[in-house]
Amino acid sequence: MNVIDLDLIDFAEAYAIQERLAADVFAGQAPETLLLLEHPPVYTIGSGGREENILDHGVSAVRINRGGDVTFHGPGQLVGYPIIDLGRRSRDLHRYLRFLEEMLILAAADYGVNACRVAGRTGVWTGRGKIASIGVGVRRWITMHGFALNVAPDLAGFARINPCGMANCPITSLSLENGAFVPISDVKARIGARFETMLNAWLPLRRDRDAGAYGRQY
Amino acid sequence: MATEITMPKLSDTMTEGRLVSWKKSVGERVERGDIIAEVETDKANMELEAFASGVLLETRVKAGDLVPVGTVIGIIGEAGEAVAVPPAGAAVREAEAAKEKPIKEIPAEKEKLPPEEPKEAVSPPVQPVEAAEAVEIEKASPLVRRLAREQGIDLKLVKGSGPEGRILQEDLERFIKERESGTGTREQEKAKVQQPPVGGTQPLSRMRAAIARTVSEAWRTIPHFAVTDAIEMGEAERMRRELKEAGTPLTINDLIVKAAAMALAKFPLVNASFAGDGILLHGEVNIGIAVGLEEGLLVPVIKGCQNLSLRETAEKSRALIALAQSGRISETDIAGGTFSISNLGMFGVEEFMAVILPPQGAILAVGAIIDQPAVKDGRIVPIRMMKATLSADHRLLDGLYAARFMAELKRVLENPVVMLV
Repeated sequence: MNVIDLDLIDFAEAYAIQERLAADVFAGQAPETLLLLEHPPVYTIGSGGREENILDHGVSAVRINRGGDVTFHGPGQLVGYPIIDLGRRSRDLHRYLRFLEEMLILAAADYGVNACRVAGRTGVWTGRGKIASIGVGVRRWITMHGFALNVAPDLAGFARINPCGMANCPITSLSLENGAFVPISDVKARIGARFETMLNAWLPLRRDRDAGAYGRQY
Repeated sequence: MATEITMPKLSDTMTEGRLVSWKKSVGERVERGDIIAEVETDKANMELEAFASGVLLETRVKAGDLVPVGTVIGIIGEAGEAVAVPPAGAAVREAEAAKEKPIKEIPAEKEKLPPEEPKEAVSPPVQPVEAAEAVEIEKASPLVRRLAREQGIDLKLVKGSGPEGRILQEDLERFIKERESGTGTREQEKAKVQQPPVGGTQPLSRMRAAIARTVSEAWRTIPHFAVTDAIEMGEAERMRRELKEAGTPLTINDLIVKAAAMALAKFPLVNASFAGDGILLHGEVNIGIAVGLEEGLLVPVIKGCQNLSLRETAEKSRALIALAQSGRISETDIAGGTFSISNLGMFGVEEFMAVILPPQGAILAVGAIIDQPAVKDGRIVPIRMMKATLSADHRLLDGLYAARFMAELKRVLENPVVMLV
C-alpha cells in the first residue's frame, strides 16, 4: 500500500487524483493508497446533504459523492483519502467506518486526547465536541473520500456551517484539547505509519475479489 | 425478463439504507455495470450498479427514502415488459414507461406466464388481472426464491411481511423455524421437505455466518486466558429481594452488570482494546449482554454504564433484552460495546468460558448460583455460591491484573450495598 503526502492541495485537484486512483485500483493497476493532505478553505456537501446547512456563501462549496452532510476543510486540518479495495476486504461499509474511527481515536490518544465514538453519529468526538469527520464514497467497492482530523485549524470556518447537518454542533481540535500546538506533519507521520497495519487487522486482505457485485446478498 | 434492483446489504450490521438519488430516470436505457443509483448507510455512500441491461422500467423508492435491506427499489427490463407487483396506481406509470409499445401487447405477455388457478368467468379489467398474476411469480427476490428452492419450500405457503406482501428472507427463515418446531405446518408440506442428511451441509443463516466470522476472528487473533472466581451471592440476593419488594424490580444479572461497571472503572485495562501498536482505554463503559436466541446470539450494549445507577442499569437492560428477543433491535444498540457479560446461570450451567468479542478485550462468563456448604465460625453453613470466569486478551493484561479485577468484582457483589451509593 502507498502513502502519499499531497501537502496543501486544491479540492478539485485532489478529487481528480482520487478518481484516477480509484479506477486504477479497481483495474488492479495501482496499489491501495492513502492520500494525506490539507485543503485551502472549502465546504463540501455529501450527496444527501442540504445546501441550507451552509450559512456562509463567501467560501466555495462543492457537492460530492460521499455520505454525510456538509463539512469544512481548511489548513490545519489533516485530510485523509484512503483508496481501498473493500471488495477484497470483507465488503462491510460499517466496519470500514468503525476502522476509520478507531484509527482516529488512536491518533488522538497519541496526544493524550481522549476521543470516542458516539453511537449513531459517525465521526470522532471528545467531551468538547467533534474532533474528526468521516464521509465515505464507494464505487465498485473501492473507497473514496475518508476522514478529516482537526489538528490545529482555524475553527471559525466551522462557525458558518451546521457541521454534519446538525445545528450548534461543537467542533474541537487536537491542539485545543492538548493545550499545546500539535504540528500536522507529526500527526501525518503517525497516521501514515500506522494505517496499513491497522487496516489489515480490521479488514484483512483476501486473495481475490468476491464474485458478485454486492457480496453476500447475491 | 425483468430484473429487480434491491437495496443492497453493504455491511453485516446494515438493516436499512437510504436511497440518495437515482442516476437514471424511468424509461432510460441502462447497460449492465452502469451506475443507476446512489445509496447511503451511516456516512458511507455506495454507487449502485445495474446487474442487467435494459430499460429502467420503474423506480419504487424515491430519493431520501429509508428502506429495509432487500427491498425492491426499482425494476430493469425490456421496454414494454409487464412490471411485477405494481404498487397502487403503478399500472398507469408502467403504461407510461412502456408507451413506445402499444398497450395491446401486454395481454400477449400474459399468455407466456404459467397457468394459474382458474379465474372467474367474468374477467375484471385487464390491468388488475395483470397485477394479480404477476404477484404470483414475482413476490420474492431471486435470493429468497433460490433459498426456498434449496429448502424445497413452496413460496405460496409462506406469508410475506414485506411491501405488498413480498416474501422477505426473514419470512422464509421464520417459516423454516416454524416448520422445524412443528407449529404452523401443513403435514403434506412437512412430508415433502427433506432434512439435509446427517453429514450433509446445511446453509448458514445470516446470523450464524456473522457469529462464525466474529468468533473465528476472535479465536485466531486474541490470545485468550481465563480466570475463575467463586462469589458468594447471598447478600446480593437478599438486596435484590428487598429492592423488588420496595418496587424496584431487577435481576441478578443487573447486579452483575452494575458490579462489573464499578470494577471496570478501577481496572481500565479490562475495558480496553488492543490495537496493534497501542492499547485503547475506553472512556465509556459500554457493557454488552449476551442474549441467547433460537437462531443464535445477540449482544445488545448498555451504553455509559459508568454513569448509570443500579435502577437505570436494570431499566436499560430490560428494554434492550426485550428488543433483542423480539428481533427489532437496531444496529446502534448492538454496537460500541467495550466489555461483555454472558450469563448461563439461569440454565443451570455452573461455570464456563466465553469467547471475547473483538475489538473488546474481555468478557465475563457467569454461572448459576448454587447452594454449597461452607465452614463459618467452626460450623458448617449453607452459602449461595456463583462462579464467574473472566476471559481476557493477554496482550492487554496479565493474570495478576485479571485476578485483581475479579477480586474487586467479588468485593462489590459480596457487599452489594456499595452499588446503591
